Amino acid sequence: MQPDTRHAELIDRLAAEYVLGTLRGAARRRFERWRASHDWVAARCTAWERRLAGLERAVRSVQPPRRVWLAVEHALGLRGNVRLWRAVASIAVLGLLGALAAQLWHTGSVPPDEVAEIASPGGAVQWRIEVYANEHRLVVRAPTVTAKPADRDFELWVITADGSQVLSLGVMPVRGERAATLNAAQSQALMAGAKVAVSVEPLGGSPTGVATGPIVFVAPLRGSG
Amino acid sequence: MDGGATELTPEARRERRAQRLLRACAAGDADALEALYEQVAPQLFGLLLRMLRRRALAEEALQDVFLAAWRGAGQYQPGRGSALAWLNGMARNRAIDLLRRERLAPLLMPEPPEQAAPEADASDAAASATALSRCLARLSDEQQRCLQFAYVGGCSHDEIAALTGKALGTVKSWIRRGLLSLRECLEG
Repeated sequence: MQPDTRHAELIDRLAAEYVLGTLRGAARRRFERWRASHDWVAARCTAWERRLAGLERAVRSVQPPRRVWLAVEHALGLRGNVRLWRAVASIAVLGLLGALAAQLWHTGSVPPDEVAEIASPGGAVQWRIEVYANEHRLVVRAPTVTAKPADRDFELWVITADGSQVLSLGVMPVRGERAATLNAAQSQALMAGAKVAVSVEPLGGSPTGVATGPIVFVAPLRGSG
Repeated sequence: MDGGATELTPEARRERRAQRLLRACAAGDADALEALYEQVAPQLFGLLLRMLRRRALAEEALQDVFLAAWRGAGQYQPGRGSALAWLNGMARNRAIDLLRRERLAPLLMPEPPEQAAPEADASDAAASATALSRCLARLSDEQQRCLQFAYVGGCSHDEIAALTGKALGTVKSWIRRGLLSLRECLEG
C-alpha cells in the first residue's frame, strides 16, 4: 500500500535521517520495524543509502586484528573449526612408537569386553578404547603420538546407546596409555551399542562437564570377542 | 549495470561476490563467512573505528556484525539493495547502538572526509561519488559539515550542536535542508 503524498514525504525524511544516523533511540527502532515490514519504506532507505554512500569513501580501510575473526569463529562454533581440529588431530607422528605399539595392544591377558578404535582419516589408529567390565576399568591407548595444540586437550565421552546421556571419560593421552576406574554410571553407559566421542577442550578437560568444543571423532563400541 | 560478465566494474564484481557469499552463508557454509570477512572486514573496521573512535569497541562491533550477518544471511534480499550496503548498514547500526550504550561523547573532532579520489575506471560508484561531491558543493559549509559529522562521525544531533557551538534546532534544520537539497540535486 502506498502512502499519501504528505505521509510519503515524512517517511522519506525519516529514511534520510535513519540512513544518516541522526534518527536515534525509540524512533530509530520503530523505523527499523517499518523498514522490515514495508517494501516501500525499505526502498526509500535504499535510495538514501545510495545517495549518501559517497560520503563514506573517505573512510580508510583498516585491517582488523586476527582475534576478531577467531572470536567470530569461536562464538559460532563453526564447522570449519571441526575440520581444522580433525586435521590437527590426524597429524600423528607415525613410526615413533611403531615397534612398541604392537606389544602395547596385547599386554593384558584378559581380552577387553568392549573396544572402540578411533582412526585418522588416513586410516592409522590414533586411539584404542578398551572397556573391562568386570574390573570397572577403562584403558585408552595411543599407539601413535597425536599432535595437539599446547593449550587444548582431547576429551573422551560416552554416548549411551539410546543417546539419552553423555558422560565424560576423561582426557585422552597423547601417547602411551591411560587407565581409569569407572564409576557405576560410566560402566552402565559403556554397554554394547554405545558410542564414544572425542571433543576438543581447554587443558584438563571441559570445565562444565559437558563438551564445550567441537566434536572431532565419534566411534561405536563393539564387543571384542 | 550487471551486464556482460566481461564488462563488470570492480565494484560490481565485489558486489556480486558478496551476494554469492551471503547466499552460501545462508546455506551454512562457514568458509563463505570467512571469505566474506576477508573481503569486507577491513572496510567495515575502518568505518567502525571512525564512528566509535575506540579500538576495543570497534572490534566488538565488527564481531557483532559478522555474527549478525551469519545469522541473518537468509533474510538478505538482493531486491532491497546491495549486499555491501546491507553489511554497511548493519555496521553503522551497531555502531550507533554502541555509541548510545556507552554514552560516548565525541572524543575528537572527526576529520572532514577527504575528497573522494576519482577512480581509474568509470564505474557507477565513481560516477555517483562525483555527482555527490558536485551536489555537496552546493550546500552551505555548515550543512556539509553537519552531514559529515553525522554520517561519517556517527554523531547525534546533540553532539553536532556541541561540536559546532550552534543551537540544537539550528543543527536539525541545517541537516533537514541539507538532505532535501541533496536529494533534489541528485535526482535533478
